[in-house]
Amino acid sequence: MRGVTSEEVVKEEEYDIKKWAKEEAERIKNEAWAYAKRYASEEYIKELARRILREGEEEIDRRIRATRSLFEKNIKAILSIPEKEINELVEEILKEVFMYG
Amino acid sequence: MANGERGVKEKKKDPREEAREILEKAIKEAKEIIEFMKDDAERKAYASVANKLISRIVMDLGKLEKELRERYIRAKYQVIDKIRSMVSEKVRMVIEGKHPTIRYDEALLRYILEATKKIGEEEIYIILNERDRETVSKRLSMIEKTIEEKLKRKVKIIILNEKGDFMGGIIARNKDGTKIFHCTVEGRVEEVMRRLLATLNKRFFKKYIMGWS
Repeated sequence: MRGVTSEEVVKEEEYDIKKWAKEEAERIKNEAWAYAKRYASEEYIKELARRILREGEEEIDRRIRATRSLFEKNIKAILSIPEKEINELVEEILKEVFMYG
Repeated sequence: MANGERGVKEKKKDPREEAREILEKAIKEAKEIIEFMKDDAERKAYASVANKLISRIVMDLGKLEKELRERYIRAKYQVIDKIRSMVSEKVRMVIEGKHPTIRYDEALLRYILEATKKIGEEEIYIILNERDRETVSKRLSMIEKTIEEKLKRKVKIIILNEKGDFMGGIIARNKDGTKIFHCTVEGRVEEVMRRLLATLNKRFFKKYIMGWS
């Protein structure tokens, strides 16, 4: 019986570690597919859709409130322009009408 | 040569390093698989609710915005109407000589001067309303003298018998009527208001509103 040289031991180890890595890589990918399958399920997509719809509706409601509040504020601001400002504008118009200044 | 071969041998990858690379690549791919499936599910979920959300945006938000914009425009026109009515009131005050700073007789002189400049002839024919005819007739020579001083040329102002049906101001023309200059108070108010309305948003309302231009 022939003895095993140190070079053969190294080659054997090289082979083993690469083989192991390849098998492990395959296992990791398979696990990823298995894990990712949950995302393809109808139930998951329906639940996600419900969440998107709820969040979307909340966002629309928020925008509705913000739009209403912005317009209300602006309408109120316009309707409460100080009389003094309006008077100044009217005087400015009068000056132009009567070519003053 | 021997050295070269040794060089190649030295470059050969360490099997443990290779194994590490294989695993890293596998982990990267695994992450991509999960991300892809997640994104795909999200796309499908979005697609299934998009119509509902779009219809709410159009129906509720769009309808509300339209309604509020109309109210906002009505509010602006409320202010504009107020300005208009205050202008009318004050114009009357000026014409009746009740305005504290603007004198109507001075304004009339300015109108005639402006008409003279625009028409650019020696004789200017003017139409006035009944009340202004009397005022201008009495001060005609003074008006002509003032114009002469201002324009450095002699100008004859002729008041036409035709009575103007307007609040105040003048309609002026040259002798043969080929050049006409309208400067009635009503016309000036309209012109100034029209110009003002075009810039009112920028000049006036913008100070008070927020959130949009």
